[in-house]
Amino acid sequence: MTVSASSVALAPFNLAVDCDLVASAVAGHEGGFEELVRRYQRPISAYVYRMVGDYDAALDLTQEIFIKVYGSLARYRSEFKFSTWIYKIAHNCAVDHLRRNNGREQSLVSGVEGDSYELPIESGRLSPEQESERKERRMEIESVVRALPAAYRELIILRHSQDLTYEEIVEVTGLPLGTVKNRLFRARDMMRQQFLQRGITGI
Amino acid sequence: MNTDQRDCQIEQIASYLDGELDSAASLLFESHLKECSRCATELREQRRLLGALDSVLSRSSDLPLPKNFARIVASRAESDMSGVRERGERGRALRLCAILAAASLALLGVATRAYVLNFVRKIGRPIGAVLDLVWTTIYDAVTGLAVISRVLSKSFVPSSLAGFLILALAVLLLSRLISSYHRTRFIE
Repeated sequence: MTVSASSVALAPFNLAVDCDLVASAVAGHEGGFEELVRRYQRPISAYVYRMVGDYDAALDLTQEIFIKVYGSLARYRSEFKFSTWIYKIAHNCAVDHLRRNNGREQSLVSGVEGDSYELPIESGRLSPEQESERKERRMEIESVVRALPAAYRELIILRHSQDLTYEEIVEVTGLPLGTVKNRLFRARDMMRQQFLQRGITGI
Repeated sequence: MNTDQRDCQIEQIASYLDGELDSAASLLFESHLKECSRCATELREQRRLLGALDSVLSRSSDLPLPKNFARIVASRAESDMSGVRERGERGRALRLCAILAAASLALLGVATRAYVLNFVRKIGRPIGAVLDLVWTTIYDAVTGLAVISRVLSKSFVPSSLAGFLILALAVLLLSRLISSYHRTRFIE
């Protein structure tokens, strides 16, 4: 652990940077880890949900990820970006879960699923028709993303949902840069083919 | 105007749109775009797709979480034994647990010594008898086999290849005879 604990108590938790919160949690100060969870609970749970496709499993897995994060905090090195580090742990947990539930994964690939949840999105000011059209478009895109094989789906999620750079995706998944580029290209190509097959234009 | 399609690197379009090309590669790609309608069309299509993906999969689409999720998760993580922060702290905790377990066992042993000893004696006697019987059986069987093999090796070891073949044939015939005898009995 290379983060100094001296600066920990200087700033309120909500203003502190991730590294200071890690140092605070490692030093055993109350609230530091909770603030980290608060910061990352939404992106991590959304990533996990899109990976496993089941709301309850996503919540359980998110909890498991944060427990693992807490257990590994002492091994975190501040020269790495905390967000990348936490995504790496989330990636490992999600991959383990998909391996354990291989049958479930098959149903995801074929696009059939039971316990799905429609992720809300901020809609702004739109007419009911526009709203309905947008919702339909959104559901189509979500469905095409869900139908991608997990190895491709994950890269699309990390890039477009979590806004990670190629380099960060390499760190999170442990894949070579060439493979990441190639899979992203192929995933997008697969999606375009899917849109054409479904008769969706304008994407 | 169309350039030679061999110059086109379609995969580069994605890197360009993702902002992953360095400035020199970007300039080179942009100059290629001016001359290649195929790449320009591909770029427009990919840009549209990426825009749609960004808007739908953006961070604003969050999973609804239970109330106080962060607090619950944090307190669970902090109370989880495997999540003890320092390795040394974990080691100390395990050592303490081991000492406490040993002390409990010692105290329990003193308090219930007579009962434990009687129980061990009661269980130990039949187990000892069974083990003794098994050992005697194995010893007798091995000794018998040793005697039989010694006798056989003295009397029946063939001195030539023909003798060996006759012995093998005899063993084969004997085993067939035994098996056919059992099969006949089974059919009856």
